[in-house]
Amino acid sequence: MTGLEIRVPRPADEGALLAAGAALGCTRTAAERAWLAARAGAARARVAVLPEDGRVLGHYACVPRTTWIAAREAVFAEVLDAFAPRAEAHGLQREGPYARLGHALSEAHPEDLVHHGYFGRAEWRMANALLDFEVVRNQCLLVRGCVDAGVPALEELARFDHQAKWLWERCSGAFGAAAIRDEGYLNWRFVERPGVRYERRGLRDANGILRGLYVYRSGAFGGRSGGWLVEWIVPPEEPQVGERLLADALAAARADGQRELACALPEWSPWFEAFQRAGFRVVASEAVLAARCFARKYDEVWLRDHWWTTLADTLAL
Amino acid sequence: MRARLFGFDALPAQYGELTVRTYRPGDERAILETFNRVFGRVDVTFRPRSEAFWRWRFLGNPSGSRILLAFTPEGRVAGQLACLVQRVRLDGRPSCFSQGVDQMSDNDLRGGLKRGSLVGVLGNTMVKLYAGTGPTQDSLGWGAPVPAAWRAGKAFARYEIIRTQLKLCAAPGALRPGPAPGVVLEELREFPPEIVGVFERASARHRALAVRDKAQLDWRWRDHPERRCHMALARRGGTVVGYAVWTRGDFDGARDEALLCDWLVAPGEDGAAAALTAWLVEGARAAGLERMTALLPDTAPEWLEFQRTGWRVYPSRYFFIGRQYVRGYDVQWMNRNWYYTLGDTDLL
Repeated sequence: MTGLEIRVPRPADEGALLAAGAALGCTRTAAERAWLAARAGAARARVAVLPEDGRVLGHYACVPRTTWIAAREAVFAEVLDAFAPRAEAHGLQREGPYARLGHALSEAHPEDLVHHGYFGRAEWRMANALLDFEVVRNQCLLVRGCVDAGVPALEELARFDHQAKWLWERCSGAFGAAAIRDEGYLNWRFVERPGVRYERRGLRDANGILRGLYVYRSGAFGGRSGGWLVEWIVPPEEPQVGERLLADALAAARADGQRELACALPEWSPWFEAFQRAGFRVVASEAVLAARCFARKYDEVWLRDHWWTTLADTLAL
Repeated sequence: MRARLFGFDALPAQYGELTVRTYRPGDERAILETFNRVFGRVDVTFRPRSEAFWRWRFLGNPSGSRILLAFTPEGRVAGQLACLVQRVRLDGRPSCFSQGVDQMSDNDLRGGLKRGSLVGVLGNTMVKLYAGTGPTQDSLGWGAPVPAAWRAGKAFARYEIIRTQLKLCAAPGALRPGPAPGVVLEELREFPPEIVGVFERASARHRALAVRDKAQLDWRWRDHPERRCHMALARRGGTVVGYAVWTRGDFDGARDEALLCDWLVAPGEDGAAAALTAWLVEGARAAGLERMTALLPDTAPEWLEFQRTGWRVYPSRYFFIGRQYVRGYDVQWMNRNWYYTLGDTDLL
C-alpha cells in the first residue's frame, strides 16, 4: 500500500472515481460533483490511486463553509464522499488509504478550524480511530405529524437576495459558531444544487422586509424517510413569525405527500423548546454529528454547546 | 493522535515511585484525605465526603466495586480509579458493567508523572484485571464525566461517547397521566423480593439492563445515607408490574427539583406507568416543587412514552462515555440497547 499515490483528482480520473464510488455506495452524480467543485475547487478533494493501473481506491473531499466563530470568520469543512475499502485498508491501518486521504486534505488546508460530518457506521470507526473525529452530538430529530396541516401559502423565494444576510444577522447574535447564511451561500446551497428540489419560503412584513424563512425537501436521513425542514432562519425573539412559518412548512410537507415533518436543531436553541410546544417530539436517529477539531479551545464539547447547525450543514439532504 | 495504552497485568506493581494496587480494608482514610483535598480545590460547591458515605457506596453495593490506587512511598494516595459495579443482563446473559467514579490524580503527590499517564495506567490496568465475557467480569466500562475527565479518558483510555445526554423535564401540572384501571399503588419502606419480576420482564424489552433486585434497590434507595428517597410500586392482580423512585435535589445546574431517580415498568403495563406518574406528580406538588427531571436513553421506548405524557426534552451538560470490553457490544450497540436511569449513575 505504500506505493499508493495520494493526489488531487484529475479530469481523467472521473470514470474510475465514479466506478469506485458506486461500488462503495457513494453515488454522487457528475453534475453534483461539478456543483461542489464550483464552490470548493478541486483542491479540496484527494484520491488514492494505484499508480500501476490508475485504479482509484479511495476518495475524500471537504466542502468549506465560512463560519462565524468568536468574532471572526473561519472555515468549517464538511467531509463528504469519503470512501476507502476496508479490505484494501487492512482494517484500521494508520497508513491505509482512508487515513492518508484525510491527513493529506487537512495538511493542505491548515486554515480549517473544524472538519465535520455525519458518518455511516463503518466509516465512523475509521474517522474516529484514525483521524480523531469525535461525537458532537447524537442527533435527535424533532418530528411531528402533518396530516392536519393546511396549504402552503407563504411567498416562494426563487432566489435569496441581500436581505438573507440581514435576517441571518438578526438570528445569529447568540451563536458561538455558525456557518454564515448569506445570499451567496444560500443560493449555492438551495437554488443551484442540481437534481434536488428544495421548497424555499419566506415571510415579509408590510415594508417588504424578510422576517423569516424556511427550506423544505423530502428525502432520507439518519435512518428516516419523509419531509425535512432543512433550513430554519427565524429570530427566536419573533415567535409569531416562527408560528406562521412552521405552519407553512407542515403544509408544505403535507402537500408533498408526507405524513411527517422532521428537523434537527441544537437542543440549546429556544426553537428546540418552541417546536416541542408546537407538537414536535424529540426522536433518536442513527445520525451522529462528528467533528475533527484543529483548535484545542473549540473541541467537540464546545461545539455541542455553541455551534448552531441545521440540516443545511450537511449535504446529505 | 492517541497515546499507546499501557496497564499492568497483575498487582501490586511499581509505577515510577508509586505503588499501584487494589483496595485493602483501612485504605478509606487515605483515599478520603486525597479525595477531599483534590476535589475541594476544583469545585467551590464541594462538600467533603464522609467515611459513612464512602463505605455505603463502595463496600455496601451488592454488585461490588473495584478500586485501584497509586500510593506514594509515604503511604498517601496519589491517584485512584474506582468503579461501581453493576450486575447486568446483557442479551439474556449475566455480565457486569463498571462505572468509573471518583477518578483523581493529585498534582502534589504524583512525583513528576503526568496526570494523563497515571489516568491511563489505572484505566488500562482496570481493563486487564476485570474485563471479560464471564458473568462476574466487565463487558463495559462507562461513566458520565466532566469535560476535563472526558478529554483525559479519550486520550489515555480509549473511551468513546455512548450518548450526548438530553433530559426530560416537566412541571407537575403539565403531565397528563392516563387511566390506570386495576392498578394498585403501594408506597414502600423497602422493596419486596418479587420486585425482581419487573426486572425480568423489562429485560425482555431492553437488551442491556442493570439488575434491579431487592438487594440492589434497597442499597441504592432505602439505605442512601444522604437522601430521602420516595419509593413506590404498582401491582396489577397482585403482581408487581412497575416501580419508581424520586428524591428532592439539585441537578445539572437546576435547584430544588423532584428528581426521578429510577423508573422501571414492565412492557405493556401502561396503567402502571400512569399510576406511578400520578404518584410522582402528587409527591412533587405536596413538596412544593415546581419542576421534575428525569434521565432516560433517547433510544428507549420510555423516551417517547414520557413525552406523550407531557415531559419535554432539554439539553443537559452530561454525556455518557464507554469503553467496549467484549466483542459485539460497542458503544453504538449500547446507545441503541442499554436502558438506564439517573439512578444508574453516580450523580445522585
